[in-house]
Amino acid sequence: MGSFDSFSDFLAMGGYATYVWSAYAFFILVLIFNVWQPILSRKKYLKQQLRREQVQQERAQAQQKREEMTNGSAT
Amino acid sequence: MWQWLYKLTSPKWFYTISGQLMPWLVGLTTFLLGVGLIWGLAFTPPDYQMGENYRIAYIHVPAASIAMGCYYMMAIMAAAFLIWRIKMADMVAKACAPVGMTFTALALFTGSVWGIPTWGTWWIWDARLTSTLIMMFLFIGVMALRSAYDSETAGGKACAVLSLVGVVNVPIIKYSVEWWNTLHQGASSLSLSNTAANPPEIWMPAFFVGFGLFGFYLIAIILRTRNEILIRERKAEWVGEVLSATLLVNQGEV
Repeated sequence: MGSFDSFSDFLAMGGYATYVWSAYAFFILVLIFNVWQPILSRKKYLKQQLRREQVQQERAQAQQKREEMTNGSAT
Repeated sequence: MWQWLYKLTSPKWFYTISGQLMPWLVGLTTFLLGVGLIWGLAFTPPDYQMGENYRIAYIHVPAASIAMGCYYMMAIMAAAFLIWRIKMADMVAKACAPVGMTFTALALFTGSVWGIPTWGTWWIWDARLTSTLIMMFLFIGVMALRSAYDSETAGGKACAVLSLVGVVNVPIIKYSVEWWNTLHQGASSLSLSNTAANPPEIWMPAFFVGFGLFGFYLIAIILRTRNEILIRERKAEWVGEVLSATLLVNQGEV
């Protein structure tokens, strides 16, 4: 393939495999980190907002129930 | 022109436009990085002195230039925030710090593993390496400074000042190899001639990786800025709508 005779030649990188591949591995890590981290924090934030919304709904429902009960005892 | 600039300062406009732009940016970035990396790793001929090891250059050079560009961007955003109180600028500046930090780390790491076989050392305190390390510490310092403040505005202002003070370091990085005697080489001149030391068949893949990595850099900044918009503008009506729409869709998975 290309400038190399075989795939194993390509992997060997003319004896510089450790250096070349560790550099490219770090490169891939940087790419993954920069996408994965913001996506994860977005999910976390959305989850938090969802919980907040649920708590608010539950509170509103409880409030409504209480009002109904007091109204009921009054009449 | 001014109207367009004014629009840029609106979080809603940024959020909408960046959302529409994203698929195109991702596609273009994937294409450029894919072509550049495969070309640079497998198809360009080996260097006559460094053999196959020089292939590290295809990521080392773009990473270092984009890291420096990222610092400039952070500083420009810092100035815009200090002078015109543009909230949007502070959000972008906040996104720049972690992205720039990882790109600087990438430049330093790839430089180190390149240096082991070619220089015989992974580190030397020469001007280029030291000033780049300082840039990484500046990015880390800006992040640490922001996290030390409870108030968003006060933290933003402090970070803006530090970013502007630190910007003096970027031209030092750029010209360090000319001003001082460094182990790090100067910029290689690009030649259009195929018989030159640095012919197009060697540097062309670097352009693909360079533009691809720049696209990736924009994606990384946009992702973080969009999160920041959702958090800081959560009381705005349009964010409420975006949130409830996303929450409905994601209710199953989150």
